[in-house]
Amino acid sequence: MSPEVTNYRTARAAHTAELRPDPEKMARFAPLRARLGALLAEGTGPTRSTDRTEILAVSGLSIRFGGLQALDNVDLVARAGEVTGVIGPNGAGKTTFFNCVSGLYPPDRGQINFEGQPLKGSVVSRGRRGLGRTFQSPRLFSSLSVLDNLALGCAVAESAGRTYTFDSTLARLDRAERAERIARLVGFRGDLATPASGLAFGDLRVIEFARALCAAPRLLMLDEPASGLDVEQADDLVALLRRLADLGLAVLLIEHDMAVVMGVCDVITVLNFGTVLATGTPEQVQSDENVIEAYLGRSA
Amino acid sequence: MSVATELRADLKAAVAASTDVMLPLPGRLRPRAVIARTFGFALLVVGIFTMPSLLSRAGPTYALAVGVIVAMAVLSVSVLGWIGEISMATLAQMGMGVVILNYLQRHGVAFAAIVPIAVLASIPVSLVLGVFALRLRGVYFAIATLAFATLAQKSFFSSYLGTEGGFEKPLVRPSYLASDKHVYYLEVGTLAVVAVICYLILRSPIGTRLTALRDSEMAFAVLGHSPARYKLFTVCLSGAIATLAGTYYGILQQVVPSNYFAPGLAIAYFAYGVVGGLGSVGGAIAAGLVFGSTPRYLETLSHGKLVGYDLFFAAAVALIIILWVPGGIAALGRRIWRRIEGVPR
Repeated sequence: MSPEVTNYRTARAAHTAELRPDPEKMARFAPLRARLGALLAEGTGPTRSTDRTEILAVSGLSIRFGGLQALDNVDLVARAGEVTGVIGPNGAGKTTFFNCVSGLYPPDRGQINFEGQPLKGSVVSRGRRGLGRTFQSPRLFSSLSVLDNLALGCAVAESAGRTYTFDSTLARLDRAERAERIARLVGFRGDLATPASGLAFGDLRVIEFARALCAAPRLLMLDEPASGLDVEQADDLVALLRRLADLGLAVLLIEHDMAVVMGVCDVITVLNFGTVLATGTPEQVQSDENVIEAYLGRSA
Repeated sequence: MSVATELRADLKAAVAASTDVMLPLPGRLRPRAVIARTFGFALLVVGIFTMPSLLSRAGPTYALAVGVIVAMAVLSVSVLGWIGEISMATLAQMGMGVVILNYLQRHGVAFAAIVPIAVLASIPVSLVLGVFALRLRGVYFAIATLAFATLAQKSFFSSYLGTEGGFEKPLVRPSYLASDKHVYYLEVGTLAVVAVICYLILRSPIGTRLTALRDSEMAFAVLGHSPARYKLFTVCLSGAIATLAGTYYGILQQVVPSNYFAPGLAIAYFAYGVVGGLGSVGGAIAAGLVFGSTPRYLETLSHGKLVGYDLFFAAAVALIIILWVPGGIAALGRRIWRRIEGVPR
């Protein structure tokens, strides 16, 4: 067997290990989910949204870059109140899918509906319609302070006349107070006057996430939000995503950390070489023959 | 030194560097800072009014008047730095100012009315450049503006201005601008207004958005802010300043050959902007004054032996400044000013 094949198989095996969530990690999230569940059951916390409206409906999405079919006939639905995971090996087309939805890449074929209407127009207009996203490598405005970064998100919410699905009281606050509350909500404990360029990597992710929330999105698309976070921050992220979804936000999540994916997603879509391999609940996806085959290979 | 210590040191340096470009957060000024700023402002005002007399031994007021015009042109370059772009069309836009001045004077329009008309007339040209800015970034935008400037020079300016400034009717100064000193005071007043406008824009929410756009255009657009709107605004502001500079240059020189707007010279103006500190208002003005006035004073002081050495002088000074202070005159000024105000490092 050639070294390339051996390396490839080793990499595949590593991915397979990732697909199986670490029981220890899963156990870590259990108390968080239980705490949130208890809060919701007691009625002391925010009311769980029962709205399951289709926020994003993608059908037949395809895009080709030269000789590479990056996405081929991809269908996906993201509903309010749900976290929808998009997983797959590197190069599966996950980020390309996000870029098509957010308008950075024009797809060759396919239909994207957002809140029942066709999603067309520029990146800017999509952002103003309530499509928020973060990037695989955080893209903060590094010359500005954390507060300014967040205030820019709040400014969009105001000018586009958007309301905060996850906390209606935010609309009553002024821009700085709103930014601060959202920063604390996502677990940022630092000084808001800090220049963004001085933040640690984990905080960059957290603040980028907060900035997207400040713009009052209806759909939040997160590209590997847990990468680079420490254990405590990742725990908080899972709890927060669950809470945001329970409050009616639609969340679309790309993530490699399977503990996070399995711990928080209601529905998972698996992409492989640009095509949808499987869609279902975490349990269904974990036991799907196609997924196992793609991750393990026939010979395994 | 451990890796962690090195990382911490890098982070500290990065924060220090970023603090350099950060706008100070609003807050109550310390008494020492209030005194320093009041004294500094008073000194600036006195300097502006007495400079022509103070420097009369070194050369005519004309040298200072040219310096202020170059300062305006460099400010125009620096303004584009707000969105991280480089323009090589600054001199072409200055040339437009001269042409507009000549055209309107031939039609009997008073100079006082020509200035605002020239500013407004710069907008269509700026919008053409703005279209480049929407489609191109960085070096590609710079090349596009250079091409634009070359086309303007070779076609429009050559035929209109001629190689010896051969207007059908030469540019004339109004009676209240008969001397170079009067032109200088008018220029300084205009530059002060333009500088204050630029400063206020930088401090306003628009300035925050421009900084955000420069840092990450993609994140800016995805968030729902329009990069096109802010780019066009900045290109138009920059173009208006350059056209204004050109109008004043015309009134100061009265005869302006087309080779004054040679596209290659735009590289020198861009270099002045970098030495001033790209994006900085004060740094751009300081650099313009240094590079615009000093060579002319040196020419007088050397009894004409240093004529034609202005670019040599500019290159030498630019090299020293950017080697010594990479952030340019703006960073140097900030450093000195912090020391005067007693701001802890």
